[in-house]
Amino acid sequence: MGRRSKAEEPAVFSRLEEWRVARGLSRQELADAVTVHYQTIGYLERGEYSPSLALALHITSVLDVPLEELFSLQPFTKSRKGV
Amino acid sequence: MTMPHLPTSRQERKEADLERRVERIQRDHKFQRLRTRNSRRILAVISALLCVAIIPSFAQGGDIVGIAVTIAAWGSWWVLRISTRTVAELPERFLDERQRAVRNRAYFYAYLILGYTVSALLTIGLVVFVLVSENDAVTLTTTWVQALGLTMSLTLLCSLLPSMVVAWSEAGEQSIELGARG
Repeated sequence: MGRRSKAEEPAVFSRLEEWRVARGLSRQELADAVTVHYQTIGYLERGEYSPSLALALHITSVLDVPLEELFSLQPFTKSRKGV
Repeated sequence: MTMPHLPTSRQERKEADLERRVERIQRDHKFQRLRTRNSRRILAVISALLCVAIIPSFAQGGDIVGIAVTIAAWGSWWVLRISTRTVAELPERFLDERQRAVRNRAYFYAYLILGYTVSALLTIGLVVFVLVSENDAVTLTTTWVQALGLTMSLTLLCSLLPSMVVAWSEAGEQSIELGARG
């Protein structure tokens, strides 16, 4: 896979997959907890869909993670802490 | 211990049945091979071809062929629904925000494609009718103008309709000064 062009880069960068796995949840379990389809969790993890503020806050409360640890307008550079 | 609420009225039973069917198709993992991008696109093309083929199959092949092609088109629609998990058809309350966005985009493009295709077909049909018809009952002196009028009317209607719907349904904008208090 080649590097993505600027237009193809996600509008919102996400560390959702890392945190979900760290919390021991499957995509289906997280999807059920925030009442979305499990495919939507996959889209969020791949950065192919930017969540609404309500959905982002819902996910942060289920995973018990600060919003800025999960989603960012800039690419994440440091590895996450405190998992 | 509380008893679960059991649907009593016909409406409630219908709603509960719909919820069960939605749950089944939204969580289905049996038909994942139908849900790859390639499979979905192939199914979309097959469905389109079958829908178009219904007209010549009745005209050229007779009733039996026509009915067979119609049944095949219905079948392809059914498979397409499984492939897309009926996202394009479900009521809004069964869809999450991404699925709603997908459905809205689908209807936007479907509207454009259908609107302009119907306009083009009607215009072409009218022009062909003018060129080949020997029907003296039609006033040919004004037909080109009528064809132009039909084209302009339908094309403008297709272009205007979305803005008309937005104009009808959106609340009025506030003045920019109203945002500041004090």
